[in-house]
Amino acid sequence: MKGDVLGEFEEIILLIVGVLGQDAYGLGIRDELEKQTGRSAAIGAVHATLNRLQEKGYVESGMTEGTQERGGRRKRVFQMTGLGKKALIESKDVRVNLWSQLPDLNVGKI
Amino acid sequence: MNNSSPDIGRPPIWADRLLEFFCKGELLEEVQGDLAEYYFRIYQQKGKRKAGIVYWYHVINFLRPFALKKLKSNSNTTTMIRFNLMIALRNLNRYRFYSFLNISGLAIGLASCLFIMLFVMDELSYDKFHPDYKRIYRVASDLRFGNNQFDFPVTPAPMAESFLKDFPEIEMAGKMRTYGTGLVKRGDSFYKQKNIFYASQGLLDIFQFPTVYGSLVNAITEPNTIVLSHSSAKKIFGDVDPVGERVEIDGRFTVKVSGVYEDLPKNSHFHPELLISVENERGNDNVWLGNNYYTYFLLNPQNDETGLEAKFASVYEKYFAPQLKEMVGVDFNEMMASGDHINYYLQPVADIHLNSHLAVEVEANGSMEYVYIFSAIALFILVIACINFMNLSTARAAMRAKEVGVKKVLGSVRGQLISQFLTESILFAFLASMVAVLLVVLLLPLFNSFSGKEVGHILLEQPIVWVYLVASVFAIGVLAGLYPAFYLSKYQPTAVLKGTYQAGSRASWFRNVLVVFQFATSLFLIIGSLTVYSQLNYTQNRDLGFDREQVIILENVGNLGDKSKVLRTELAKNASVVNTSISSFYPLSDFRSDQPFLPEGTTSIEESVSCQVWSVDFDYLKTFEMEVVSGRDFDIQMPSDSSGVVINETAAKRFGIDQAHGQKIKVLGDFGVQGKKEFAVLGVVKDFHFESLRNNVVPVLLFITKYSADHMAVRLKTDNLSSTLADLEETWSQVAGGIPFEYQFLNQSFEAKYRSESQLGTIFAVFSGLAIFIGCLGLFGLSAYTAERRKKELGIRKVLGAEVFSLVRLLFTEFSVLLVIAIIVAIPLAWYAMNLWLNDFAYRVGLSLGTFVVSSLIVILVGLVTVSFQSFKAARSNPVDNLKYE
Repeated sequence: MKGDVLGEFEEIILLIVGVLGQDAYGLGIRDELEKQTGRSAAIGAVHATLNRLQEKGYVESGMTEGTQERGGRRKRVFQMTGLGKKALIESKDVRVNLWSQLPDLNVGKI
Repeated sequence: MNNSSPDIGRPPIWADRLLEFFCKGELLEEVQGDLAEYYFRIYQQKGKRKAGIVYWYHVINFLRPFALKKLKSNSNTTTMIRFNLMIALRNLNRYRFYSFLNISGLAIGLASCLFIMLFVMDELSYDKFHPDYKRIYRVASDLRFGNNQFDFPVTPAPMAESFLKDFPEIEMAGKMRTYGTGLVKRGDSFYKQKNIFYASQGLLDIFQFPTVYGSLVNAITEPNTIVLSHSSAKKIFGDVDPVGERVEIDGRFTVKVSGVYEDLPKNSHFHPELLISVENERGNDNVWLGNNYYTYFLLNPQNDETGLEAKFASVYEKYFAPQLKEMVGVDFNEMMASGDHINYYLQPVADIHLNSHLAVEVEANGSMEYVYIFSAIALFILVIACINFMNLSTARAAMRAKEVGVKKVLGSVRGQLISQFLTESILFAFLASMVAVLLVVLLLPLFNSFSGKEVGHILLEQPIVWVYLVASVFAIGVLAGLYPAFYLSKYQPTAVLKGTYQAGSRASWFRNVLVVFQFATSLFLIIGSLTVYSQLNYTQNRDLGFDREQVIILENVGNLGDKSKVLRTELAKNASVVNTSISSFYPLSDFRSDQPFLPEGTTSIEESVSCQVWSVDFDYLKTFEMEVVSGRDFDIQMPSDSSGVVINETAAKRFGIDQAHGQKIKVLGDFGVQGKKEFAVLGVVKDFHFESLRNNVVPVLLFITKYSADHMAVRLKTDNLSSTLADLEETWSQVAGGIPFEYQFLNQSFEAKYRSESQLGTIFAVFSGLAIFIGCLGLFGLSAYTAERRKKELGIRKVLGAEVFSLVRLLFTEFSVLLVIAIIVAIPLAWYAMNLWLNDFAYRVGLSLGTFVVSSLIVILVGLVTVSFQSFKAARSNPVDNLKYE
């Protein structure tokens, strides 16, 4: 299942979807990304990633009512699926595992 | 929120439309929502402008695969285009031979056009790089004194300063005067420097050359200061900042470098490489009767040149009248009343290169005429290539007729068929354009070398070229495809499928007209190039009145001072040296000076003759081998000959002298020549040419001078030129001590003078060759088609006993008629056009019958050879093969 490996950006977006809960729509996710990591991404980039995550089955989505500032347009809110949660845990396990094997290095000093 | 939203407006509407155009329908709402929300946020924080830019940025950023509408969508248009392209590619592959003919013909045509377009764009770009080029003008003179008309781009010295004061429309004024070539001495080393001018600070202020070192502000206001071009600075000082360094120029001035400017680009009408402060050349600061300075004005914005020119007339009397009275003894108003005139006018600087063809231009200019000629040739070639395309397509109709019939039966409407054929032709044009670009890139160095230009950079710097190319691909595709498309799509399916339809034959008259056009055009171009060549040949082999072979011109002789006499004596000892003569004036040099003279017994300015005044020495006529037609040559044994003059035939005619026997001529005005005002005509020399043959020979007077000059002409008689030159160089270095040995061959300078004509000849020849080649590609395809169509007829004739020869003749006849018509059409047109061109030359060839006969024979021969390939193939084939299928 090579194609289903989580990319770094995908992983962060997926995490943010989990963190945001009800507010996880395109622009909201982009704002949270900027707040949490300082990275600013094009709205298109966030949408593209969400689209890919949905294709992989890690998130699902539904439309909610729109607001005035959106010109009355509805927004698509994303929600993590079980598969998505599993992928995040696997990804974290791989990292933790690798970290534990790292020779003492200078981790403490960082 | 509610009350704030109305004045917030909406995001940029075109960005929204773009988004709606490319974005998938199911994504559109959420995307637009997010973008709008973001837009309003930025709007409130940073304002409308910023928000608009951000909005555009994010819309463009949505051009990602996931968001784009699928091309595979069931849209009718996309399906049709895809399908048409597929069919087109299949057809291209199936009829490879025709495809090859079509694409290569069109590619060569397009490549020729691209080259010519680059050439034309380069010609049109001259002097448009100056920051204020639209406001910069040069002053040119149109003067008439007595019977002498002067047209040149030089003006009196005080004009720049005086007019600047007189006319508020002029914001800045600058002037420069030719110094020529000089020797720059730095330390103990000499450097030859071309294109030296005296210049005023105003010139630098007007043109604002980009500075490399130092400063060009107030750089040459003081005497003995210079500025120079970067490449000259590199040559003389190496790759360092030379500001403040001192050099010596021709031993005349010691000057200090104030600044270095970037070399002027190739597309400039002048290329000054070293500018000496005009303060070093002040002798004639107030003289209005001599014209030696190129004067440039920078006009205030909102002033047009015509209004200003009209005002010039108001100051002529103020400046000219006192000097005319004092120096020439002529009354200004009387002179004007007698029909003479003074008229100075303005030339926009960007017009100089193509539209100014006066005497003593700073450099040889181009010609608008050639720009038109080349553009016309490009168009012709393109049309010929397009005609190929149309001809081959309609001719192939026979093969496509069944396809059209079946499609119609299956429900295709005409519009769909037309769009199919147009897609096909646009595809062909597109492929051809790619081949053409490849050809252009590969052949660019070759083109540069024979056109004497550097045009490659235009491809990169002017993206408009690519826009033109893409536009012309579509235009050509549509134009060339239109006729075949309409023609093919109108078949009646029943007739076609029953086989009663003689496809392709009905269009043959139209094809024939096009073939006639192609060959008439080719013939026209061939006649054109032959005529250009024969004119060229004529100018180069014409008796110029002097012998230009085996003469070398030594330079830097002026720097030798008195040692030049030693050099002459030494050179005379060399057996290969026949004669030597020292003079700054020689045929083909740009050194000119003229003055009005009065023939014996006349006093009024009306009878004066303006003559070129050439200072020479006693051996001048012998060295150049000029022929004395009456009277005698200068004789060194006759001391009185220093007040004698030898004149050319034109001058003799103007003075009314039949037989020279010491008639007197007088200088008009106060200036003498060599300090004398009266001369005896010793002899008349046969007219010799010293300018382009486009000009008539003007009166020339030769005087003996005691002063030294910058050039020495050396007539040689040798079979081993290189060893003679080596001997000369040795003699030179013994005498000259460090001053470089430099020379030019007189015959080579002569050829350089005709470079623009010879380039025209080459370009004409190359492109007419291409035109006829493309025409033949078409004819080749067409004859293949005819042979194919008449295959069965030929088979039956053969079975009935016809000879191969008579079959070939049958096929030939059809094309021969077309060729003959083409010849009848082309010859009068070519005759008219070439006469027009030749009329520009004062000395021209006649149009010979031979040119027309030879050109026609070339076209007939090439045409028939092309046709015969296919004809013989068809005539010799076994009739059984052609007849067994039905």
